[in-house]
Amino acid sequence: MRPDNQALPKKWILPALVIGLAGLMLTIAHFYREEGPQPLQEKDIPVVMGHREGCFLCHQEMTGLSPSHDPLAIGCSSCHQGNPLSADKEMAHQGVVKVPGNMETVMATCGQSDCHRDLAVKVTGSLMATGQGMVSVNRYVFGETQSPDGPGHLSHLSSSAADTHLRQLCVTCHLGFPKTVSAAIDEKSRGGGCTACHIDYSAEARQQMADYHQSRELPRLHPALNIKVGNERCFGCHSRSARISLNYEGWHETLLKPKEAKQLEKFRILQDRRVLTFQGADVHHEKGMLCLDCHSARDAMGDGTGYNHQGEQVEIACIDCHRQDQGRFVTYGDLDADSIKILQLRNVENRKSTEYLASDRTGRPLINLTRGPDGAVRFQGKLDQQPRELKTPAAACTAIPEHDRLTCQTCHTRWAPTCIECHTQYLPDKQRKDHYTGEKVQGVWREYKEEFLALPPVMGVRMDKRLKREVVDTFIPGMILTIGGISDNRPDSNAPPEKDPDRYQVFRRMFAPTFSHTVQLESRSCQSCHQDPRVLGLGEGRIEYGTVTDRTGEIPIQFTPESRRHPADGLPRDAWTSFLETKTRDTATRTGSRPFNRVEQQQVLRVGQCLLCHPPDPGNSARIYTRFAQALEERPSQCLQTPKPTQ
Amino acid sequence: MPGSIFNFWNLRCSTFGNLAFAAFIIAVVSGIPLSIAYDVERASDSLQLILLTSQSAVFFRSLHYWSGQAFLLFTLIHVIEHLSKNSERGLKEGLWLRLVLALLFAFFVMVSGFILKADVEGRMARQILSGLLEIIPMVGTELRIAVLGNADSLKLIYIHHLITTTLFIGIVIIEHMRRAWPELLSYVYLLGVSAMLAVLIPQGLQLSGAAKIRGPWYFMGLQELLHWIPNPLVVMVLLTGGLLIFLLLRWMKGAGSGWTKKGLFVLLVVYGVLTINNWGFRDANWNSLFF
Amino acid sequence: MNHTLKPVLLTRKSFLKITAILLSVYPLKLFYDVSRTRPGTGTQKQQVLTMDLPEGISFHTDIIAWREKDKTVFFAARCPHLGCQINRFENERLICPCHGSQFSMAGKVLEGPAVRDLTELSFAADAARRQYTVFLPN
Repeated sequence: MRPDNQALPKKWILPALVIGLAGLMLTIAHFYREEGPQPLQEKDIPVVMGHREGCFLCHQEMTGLSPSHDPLAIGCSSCHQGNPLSADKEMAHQGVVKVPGNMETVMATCGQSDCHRDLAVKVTGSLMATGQGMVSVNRYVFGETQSPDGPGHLSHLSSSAADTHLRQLCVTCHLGFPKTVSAAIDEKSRGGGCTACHIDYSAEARQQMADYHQSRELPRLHPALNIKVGNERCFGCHSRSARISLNYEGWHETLLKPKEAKQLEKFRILQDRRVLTFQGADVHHEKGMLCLDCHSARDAMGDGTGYNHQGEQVEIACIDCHRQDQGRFVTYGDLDADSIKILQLRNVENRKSTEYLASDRTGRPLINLTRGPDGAVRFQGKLDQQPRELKTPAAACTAIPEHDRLTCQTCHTRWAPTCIECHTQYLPDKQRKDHYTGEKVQGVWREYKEEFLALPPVMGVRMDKRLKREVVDTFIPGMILTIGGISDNRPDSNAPPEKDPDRYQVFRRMFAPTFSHTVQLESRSCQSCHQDPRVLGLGEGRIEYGTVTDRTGEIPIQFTPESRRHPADGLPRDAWTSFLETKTRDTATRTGSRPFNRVEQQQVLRVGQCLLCHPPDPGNSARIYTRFAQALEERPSQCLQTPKPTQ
Repeated sequence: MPGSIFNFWNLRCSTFGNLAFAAFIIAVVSGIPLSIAYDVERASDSLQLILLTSQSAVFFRSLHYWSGQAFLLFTLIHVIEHLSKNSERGLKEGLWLRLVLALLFAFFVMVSGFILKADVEGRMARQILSGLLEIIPMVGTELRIAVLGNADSLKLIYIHHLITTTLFIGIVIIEHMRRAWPELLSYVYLLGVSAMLAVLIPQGLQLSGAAKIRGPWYFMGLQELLHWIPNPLVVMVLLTGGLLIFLLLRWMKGAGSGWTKKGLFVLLVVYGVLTINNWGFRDANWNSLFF
Repeated sequence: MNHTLKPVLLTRKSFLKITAILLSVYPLKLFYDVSRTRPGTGTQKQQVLTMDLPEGISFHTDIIAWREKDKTVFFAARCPHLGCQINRFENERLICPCHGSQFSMAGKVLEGPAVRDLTELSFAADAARRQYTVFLPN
């Protein structure tokens, strides 16, 4: 107890003064802030989707969007977030999303429950967003996993050797890579979520955006959001890796520099300074077809299933258009809501009285393959609405029983980009940007390429998961490469600072099944497969046939490779497999894919021996090649030896 | 130990009672310009227009909000302080009853303000409160009507927020404090802090249904309880029981009183833990990191 | 003089107190009458929706629609727990934002605190105008 005569301690005045003054000053500052346009009336601020949209105070009369995306119908903040209830510029722009379509914000913007929720969910789980195969195969190649299948997501990468390799060299090619600049899609565009494919800057919109960067005058023309997905929107990403976008239009990437390009007859230089030569376009491109015309929305955006590899997600198949049978059709009333919506948006004529072909692989409708009331089946370009004739396969496609495992592209591929040998090395002294984090990192993965040629593809065998059987398909080198600079599955900071191809920890010789998108109308010649060792996966070289004494014996065949042998495994540097040997382990980037085994090589080459004397004209085809097993039995004795030198 | 902290605070700063009273007055006065602009017939729209067209209205609205939160917070601390000192035994019985009622009204004045925002959160809060009142047996519907009024109108809630509860709370505070005005220092603190918060953290409206809707901070613990206990009537019984025990504190003596107060404090801490779990560890779909 | 206090049943003071309380009931009753809900008009509320609904779940204010191929079902979007509007759908579950009750796409309650399923709504289909008229409960 305090004695009565002791005074109570004084109350603290100073904190009160400080707090009071601070409050006063902030209040004054608040009232002297720059206000928005004045004086404001109710009519200046429209009501959109149940609330006042303050964005219109500055961003009036924004045009360029379709009626369903019109700002007066859905507002600005429903996509761009921010605070529509403030006239103060800074406050209004708090939390604003410049590019709503980016994957990181898509579920709150395009994918809101009232809008494109289902599509956004499918897309975020699709291969263009996850890149699962890219990650799982890369880890397999680097030796970090035992199989090319497995989990993986380009937005969840570690700091292992394989993943840092991806982060520096490959990771921008997925939808999760954010678009940060408001600009039209060009050759170098990568990522951006929904905006990767669906944003469309007209020339006028581009101009206004350029003006804005100069003079800060607000654009009045918003880029359109549409489904007019032309090839240029696929180009940025698909002109890399298997180069599908380039192949389709006939362009092959060389290793030349731009100033060396002038020596070429027909060349093209891309924005990123890669030099291309013309090798021959896909016949579908020559007919004016776009990527979109074959690849349905489900192909590209996914169907909700998380696939591991690209080939599993794709729905379209050659036989959908080039049918040998009647096909199954779906009526308009049975179409799914998305297909109906797309037909409405494209304003397709007579869509309600048309039937739609069901895809052979999945049974789901392909909306530009139709059957009208007259019973005729038609193909229609999705953007130009122009019909194109559907050709049925030639009789030759099914004439030879031994060809029943062949895919269409085995005979009808003009060329495929083929890389021979490379070396990938970790250089600890260099720096570069890690696209995953956006920051510069110490230690760089560099690829040293040897040759990059346009050649007819190699053949091999693939296990088709949908058909549940093996098929013969086209393959290109996934890689024939050495990787140096790895220590314990991590980039080795003690690796040599300069290129050293003789020092490596991993050697891989694996081919990848590919559909190179260079389809040609004419089939390749019989000789180009049956007599070409390179196509069989043996590498360039000379095949020589020997002699046998009786019909039951196998004709001895000799192969002399032309290319030098790779020190790592002794095989020719452009080969896939060994001559008359069966290789099954670590040969391909897909489980179930493999080069021809010993028996298959013998079977193919045996036909090649016949072709030396019996060209594949109609007479010989009828007598020999369409009944080959019996023809072998009936061989006269002169067939048992090879009369002239082999090619 | 807590007693000495309270004593220190009271001697150097302003008592929590004074601070709560000052906050109350600031909230009431700052509410006056708001009530001029606010139109209860088109509640959300009038608020949106206020926010867009008037800087001063934005300030007063945020000041009203922050001083209101401070009022509840300081009132609760004041109650804890004085219960720990057994001050309730010195109060007249009638006054104690009125104070408990005023505390209940204080929660209602706060949540009615939350509902009057008429945004997504406000509508949800109204629906939950309406549901909780309706399930009370026998008098539920009548109680709901008396408290919340017509389902499609905010008028009665507005009247309660502006007049009924405010008047009652004001009168009881004056009767309790035996003065009509808190001390100047408490005004300076409250105005200063509320103004700072009003400028730095202005209040908006929750327009989107997609964002996580939390509800007011003082009812987050209640939301957790409602999530865990399937029958909301059980929750109402628990709350009523708690309120009754609190009411009876005035007449408890000796060890009984001490243990009851400790028990209530433990319940308050548990409520705090539930609040933190709801606030920090649940996403918009009620998925939780822990439990 | 000896003034002894006679025991009484009721002092004047307490009588006045009780009367005052009883009289105050009447103004309270008036207050209640003023604030009472006007009785419903008796007509059932209904909402018109297009037939071209997206597949799966879609939200339409007070109605949740579930379309699977050619079958469509409508539910009241009111949570059976405390009546909040259900407007979230994640991982094939409808979720109430108020307290996290979860329902399957067929309206069956999966996780509490709700204990009852969603109310299925009756509707009339107009094939010519390609629209549904859904009837809401009062």
